[in-house]
Amino acid sequence: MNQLGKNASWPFPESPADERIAQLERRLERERRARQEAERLAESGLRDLYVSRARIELLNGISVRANESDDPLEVLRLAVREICTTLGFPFGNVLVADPDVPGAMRAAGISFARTCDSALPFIKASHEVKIAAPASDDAEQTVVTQVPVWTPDIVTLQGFDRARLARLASFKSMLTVPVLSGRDVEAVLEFFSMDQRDPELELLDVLLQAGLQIGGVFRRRHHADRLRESALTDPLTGLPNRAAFAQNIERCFQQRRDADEPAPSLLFIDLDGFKLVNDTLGHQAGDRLLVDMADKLRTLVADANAFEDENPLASNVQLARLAGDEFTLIVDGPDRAKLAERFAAEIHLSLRHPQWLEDNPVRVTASIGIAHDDGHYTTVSDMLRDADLAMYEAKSLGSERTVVFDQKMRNNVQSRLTLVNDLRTACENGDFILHYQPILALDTEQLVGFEALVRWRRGDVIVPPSEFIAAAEESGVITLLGQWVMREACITAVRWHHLVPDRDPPLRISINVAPRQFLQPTFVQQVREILAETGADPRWIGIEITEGAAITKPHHTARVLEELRALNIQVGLDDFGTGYSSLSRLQTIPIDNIKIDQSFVRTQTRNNAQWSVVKAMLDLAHALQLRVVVEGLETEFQREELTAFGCEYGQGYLFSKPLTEEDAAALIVAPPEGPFRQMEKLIGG
Amino acid sequence: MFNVLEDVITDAYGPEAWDSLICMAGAEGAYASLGSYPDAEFQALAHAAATLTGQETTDVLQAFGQSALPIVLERFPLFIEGVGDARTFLLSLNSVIHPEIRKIFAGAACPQFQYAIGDDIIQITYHSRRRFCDIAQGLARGALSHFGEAGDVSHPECLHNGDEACRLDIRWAA
Repeated sequence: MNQLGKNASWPFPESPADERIAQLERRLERERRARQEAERLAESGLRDLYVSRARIELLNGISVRANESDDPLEVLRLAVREICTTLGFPFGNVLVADPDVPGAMRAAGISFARTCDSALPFIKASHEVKIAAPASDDAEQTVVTQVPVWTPDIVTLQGFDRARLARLASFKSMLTVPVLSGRDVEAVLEFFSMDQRDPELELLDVLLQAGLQIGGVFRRRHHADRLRESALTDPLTGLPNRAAFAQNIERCFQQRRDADEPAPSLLFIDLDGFKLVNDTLGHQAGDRLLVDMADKLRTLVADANAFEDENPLASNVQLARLAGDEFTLIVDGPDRAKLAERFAAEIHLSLRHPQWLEDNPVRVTASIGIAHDDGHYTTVSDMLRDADLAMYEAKSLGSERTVVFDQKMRNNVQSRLTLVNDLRTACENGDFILHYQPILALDTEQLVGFEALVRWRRGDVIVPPSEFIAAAEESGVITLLGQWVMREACITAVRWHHLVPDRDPPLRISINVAPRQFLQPTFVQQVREILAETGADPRWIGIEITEGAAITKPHHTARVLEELRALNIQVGLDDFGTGYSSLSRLQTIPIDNIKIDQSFVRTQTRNNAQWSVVKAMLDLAHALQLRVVVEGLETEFQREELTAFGCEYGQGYLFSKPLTEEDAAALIVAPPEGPFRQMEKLIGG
Repeated sequence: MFNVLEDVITDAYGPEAWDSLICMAGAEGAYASLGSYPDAEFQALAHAAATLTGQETTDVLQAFGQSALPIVLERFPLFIEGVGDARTFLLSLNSVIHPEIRKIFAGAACPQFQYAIGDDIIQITYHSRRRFCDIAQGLARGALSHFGEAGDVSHPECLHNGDEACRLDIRWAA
């Protein structure tokens, strides 16, 4: 057969004209149908393209916002609007998990609507809708699930309370989209439509993805909330911590100030003897105690309504643990003062019975300070300070006390502040002097050294240490003062050495070092520098620390004392017998001597002497090869007895009151030929 | 719309009638369904049809709307998927049909309808940039007949008559 090609002749005869017209018409019709088919394919392709692009843009828009935002509600607002406009839903509504009822959902107040007026009742109902937890019978079961759910006929949906209003709005179908964070449904987006056509599976998948993206915002928010919460929670007791307390009190205070009302009352609660529990029964027991205390306080606050007679809900009570064994209560509301004091009484009452810790019955008590605002406080910190001071006042009165801050305390505070300021200035100006009390060997009554005692020259008045040392210690001025004392004592030691250069053994000046100064990490360095600066021989001075300093940080103490002894400085334990140190601990502290507190000596009279405790201390000290100094010797009887017991050294008014440097120098150069008695009268007189 | 008009005319009067209309209106005549052509050309075709049939243009446009509906529904069955009555169909214009039209015809200017709904009446108010309210009236009639429902569609307010908007009242026979 010939190949078909150009110029090939058509083998069929030509048709008549009318037949050809008919043929052309059929051909035209075929062309028309082909065009329509092509158009249909193009339309369908365009539609698919449009739909998939719109979905991608929708998901992308929601994802971008979800990744940027830390506010889930803002993202939900965007999502419901975008989904409605992109997918043509006339109404979309958002439900969120009800924080009060696990598993239940309630309207979030977020919706998007483009509807006619007849839908308004439905929209209003949707803004108020609540859906019970799935476990309950009347729950709208199908909406809270892990996947998007299509309900083509909401009128027949079991438990759908809005069916009547939906009919009025001509809504027939519903699509719900869960917002998931893990397995938790954080929110549900519900979309309503007249359209009952089944959505494509791809669309449901896109909406599932959108829900997961929004769920990520919830997850981040929860994470941030947890971080914030843990930053504001005391991990041991679960109570709000100091930071939370600071925020709360600041907020309450400002709110009241803005309303021109008195600020809330403030309770500072401190446990008495908590440290003892920690030290003797261990930290675990201490922690148990704190947890129990927190529970007690929680219960009291929870029960507060029970003893609040008139305004059961008017008061706002907030509890916190500040640190260690310190708790606080903020009591707000019209009856705050009465209620705060009522709380204090209830707290004491709740601690009446001992509790068992590590098989030991332990009874802790509390000291409570209260500050009420009478409108004069301008800052929170003043109020905190006053509650704290009241608490310290309560503590100083003994255990189980409540003190309400008052005008007298305010005056004391004022004078204490003035005292501290003046002390600071005195340190800068060197307005102090040292007096020296002789220390003698009891057997030979030979002068062996002096104790340096600081005095404050405040104007024309010489102030004894009992009136300013406590304030200096509390305010920290003591470290400056301590350095001054040490330098001054060293200078004196050098001067005296020049008076009697050949004296053997050399005279020694004992210097008292306060715990705060001693516990400074640079203490040994300070001593070294002062020795180098003044040219004093370490053997010319002794350092005395109190038992308190020794047991606060036993390891640090031992190391520092060893270093001092390595420098050839004698170290002693002052006020022995008054502190906590157990006798067994004594052997672990590297010291050369102990000074038995004057309270053990002063009371001993010829007619009524009780030496057993002193003898025990002497025996122990000698067993540990420590020398013993007694202070407060006032009578011949005391001297005789203590000498007979083998006590090495003594000081007291029997021999001499503290002397000025000049008087002490006179005594060194020309010691008495007879008995060493009341030297101050001889020299000073 | 041009293609639907072609179908309507061809179905009713044969292909020659369409040829005559195009000649008379001086129109281009080659229309693809996805194309977009001047409204004036459509008006000219409608006007030519009115002249040829001895009717008012308004009536021609209404008749076109009514005849167009079944053709449109046949071409786009998605528009009435799951829809069983004219009421649902009319109420789904904003939410279903116009979004569907926009999916296919990018940039299609579909009007936004406002509804007032009664037991036996729906009032649809709208602003059409193109003012093809007569076609809309015809389409509404077409919807009633497509679903075999008895009723009437009136057009009591019209932009052409100086009203603020066009209003169509679809009233079902009791």
